[in-house]
Amino acid sequence: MRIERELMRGAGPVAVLKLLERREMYGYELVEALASKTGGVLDMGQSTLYPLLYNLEAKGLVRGEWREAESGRERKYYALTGRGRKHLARETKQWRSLAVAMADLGIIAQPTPRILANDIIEGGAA
Amino acid sequence: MMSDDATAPAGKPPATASPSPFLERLLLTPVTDLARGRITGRRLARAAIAASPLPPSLQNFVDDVVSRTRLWRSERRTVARELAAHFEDGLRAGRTSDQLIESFGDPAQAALLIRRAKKRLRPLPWQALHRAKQGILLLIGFIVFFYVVAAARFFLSSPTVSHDYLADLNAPLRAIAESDRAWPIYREALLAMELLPQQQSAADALRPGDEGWDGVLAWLERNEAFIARVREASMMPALGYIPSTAHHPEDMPLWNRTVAEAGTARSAVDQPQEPVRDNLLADSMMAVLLPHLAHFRRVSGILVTDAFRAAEEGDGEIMAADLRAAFAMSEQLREVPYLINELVAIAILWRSFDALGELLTDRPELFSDEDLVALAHQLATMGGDGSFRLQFHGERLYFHDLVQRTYTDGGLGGGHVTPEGIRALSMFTQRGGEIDSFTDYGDAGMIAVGPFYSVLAASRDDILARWERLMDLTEAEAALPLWQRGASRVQEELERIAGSPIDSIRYRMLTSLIPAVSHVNTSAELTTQARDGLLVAIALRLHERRHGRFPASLAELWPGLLPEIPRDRFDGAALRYFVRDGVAVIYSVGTDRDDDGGVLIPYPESEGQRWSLLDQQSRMWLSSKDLERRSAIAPGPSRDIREIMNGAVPDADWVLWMSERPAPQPED
Repeated sequence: MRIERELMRGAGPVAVLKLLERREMYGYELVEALASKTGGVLDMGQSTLYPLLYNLEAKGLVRGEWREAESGRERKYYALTGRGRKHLARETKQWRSLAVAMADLGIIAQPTPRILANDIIEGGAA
Repeated sequence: MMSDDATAPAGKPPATASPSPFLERLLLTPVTDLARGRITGRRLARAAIAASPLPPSLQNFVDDVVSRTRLWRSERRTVARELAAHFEDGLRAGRTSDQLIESFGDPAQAALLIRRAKKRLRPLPWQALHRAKQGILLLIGFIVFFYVVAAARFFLSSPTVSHDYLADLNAPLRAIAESDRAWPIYREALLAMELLPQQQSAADALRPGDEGWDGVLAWLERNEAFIARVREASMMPALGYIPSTAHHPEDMPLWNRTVAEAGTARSAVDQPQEPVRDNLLADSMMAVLLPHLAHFRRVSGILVTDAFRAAEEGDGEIMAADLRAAFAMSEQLREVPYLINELVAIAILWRSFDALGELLTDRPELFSDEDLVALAHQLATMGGDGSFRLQFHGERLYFHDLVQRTYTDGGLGGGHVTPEGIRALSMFTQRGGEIDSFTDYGDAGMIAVGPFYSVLAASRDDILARWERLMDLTEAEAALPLWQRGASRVQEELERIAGSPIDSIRYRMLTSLIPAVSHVNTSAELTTQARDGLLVAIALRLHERRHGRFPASLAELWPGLLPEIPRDRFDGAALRYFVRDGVAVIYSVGTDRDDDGGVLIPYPESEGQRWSLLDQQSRMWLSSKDLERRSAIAPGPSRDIREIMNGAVPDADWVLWMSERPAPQPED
């Protein structure tokens, strides 16, 4: 299912920041991860990813660095900055509030207690 | 399927020695390109693509996207490297070139988004400059748009003349019966009048002994019938001159004679100007012809000269009749409520006041009791109620007429100034040789500035409301005697407008055309003061005849000879009066508002000519601020001629009348 452009505009950056939360990633890796981890829902066009990364870089939320991989090839790796981490925490809370509200309205399924408990723990850690 | 290095765990791969963006840019300038043996840095982007193991279709695709971004060379190179790495990763993951191209999306859209995003990464100074450039372009765009809209509104508009204000002004004049009109008699007399002698033409009034007196005397004798007709006309109930923008057919012979005489040194009036009729104002109240004003000035001068002639010849009856005729002419002029008429009427009055005062001093015996009483009644009832309060009805109408000829009519009172209006108005407001407004630059100025001016200038209803307010304030000010007047609110309002950069443009039409109302209002009060002095002088002469002496105080004149004791217009007290050595003196405290005991500014014999100027200094009404400022010119009270001529306030009074002439002071 394709997500509407406006919705994608809000969700895309958060999704990318979330993927970079655990480790650095390069462009193609991000594209693949977005597609596979969201069941194709957030499979953004590749032409959209690089402008998105450059925008996040301009805002100081991610930092790009050219590195040489083991194969000897050069790739630009993107990593979350301190500011990006804080931004992600704020965005995560908002998205969760939105999800709960949508669930209350019956638009999406009620999150399970396990996930809610996990979210609370993760939110607290953030 | 991703390659092993692509799915490597989070361990950091070793960073390459990639130069900073600034250094990278520096290294990729055309000069450094040449130094490194390359023709242009742009080729570096292609070189980066060519160095990748991508098939030609993907290389071309990357080159296409990168070229479309129109970024800096260093930015294009970075993007090219990253996209090449991206597609290489895709190939290693088992995708075909076509799949990768398809999943990448539209290259034009990608280039546009990449360009926008990359520009956000540029250095702050560039961002600031870029924003400033955008701001300037936006501003220019706005100005151009604004100009186009304003120009269309301005150049496509024209005024609509919908009301005949001159007819409103003339309505009561047209109602005057033909048999009551004096103007036809004046006109006939003027046509029969012999060309004036040079001396009389050049002076207000002549006195026996003046240069050229003999020639004037002969002229007066030859034109006795003319003067008699003038006296007859002055006694008519009304003047009946109808102001118009064109000469009345009946007046054409007089006009033609005036034009014929204009080339001679002894012209009856100043050089006449044919009205120019190439714009809407040519038929407006601004262009009304009032040639009779000049005739009245000259004829009243002739009457005063003739009064002195009659006095010289001991003919008191003619002397008094001439003076009464001059006063009556002044009254007749006020029939048209135009300010210019009022001012000419006042000028005639002052000339006649001077003559009456002099003759009451020098030849009182020539006045019969009846003449004195008649003169007193005439003076006391001037303007109907004895007031010289100026009328501004004509000024109100003329401005309304002007606005309808320069503004559009929005229907509900609104409207804006039009090109035709500005062009016509500039003829009346431009100063000789001085660039005063954009209209002085001709059509170019009009095209460039006119639309903006029309937006900035006050709207039709606004400027009319402002004019009416100023006229209301002026009339309220005129109703107050001098001693009750504070700072002029009209003057304050005009100064406030002049002090505001926006309002001075916004109300330019108003400030350019409003007369010096405070000055003319003061003139009217000073005229009242001079007239009141003469009323007292006449009463003193009558008292002297009945009792053989002047009264000890003015209270003795009341109520038989004076219905009330006139007030000093400078401080509201009764006019000052004393008798010393048999000489009666009536005076006002004058400019310094301080009773100096009836002191004249002393003047040496040789300063006789300048004395009249000095005398003016003792009868000026100054605002408190001006009085303070001018008092600072000389320390303390000043009776020094040079200081007074330099603007110092004289330590003297305004002597309205003396029963004997003051003797000149012996020279130092």
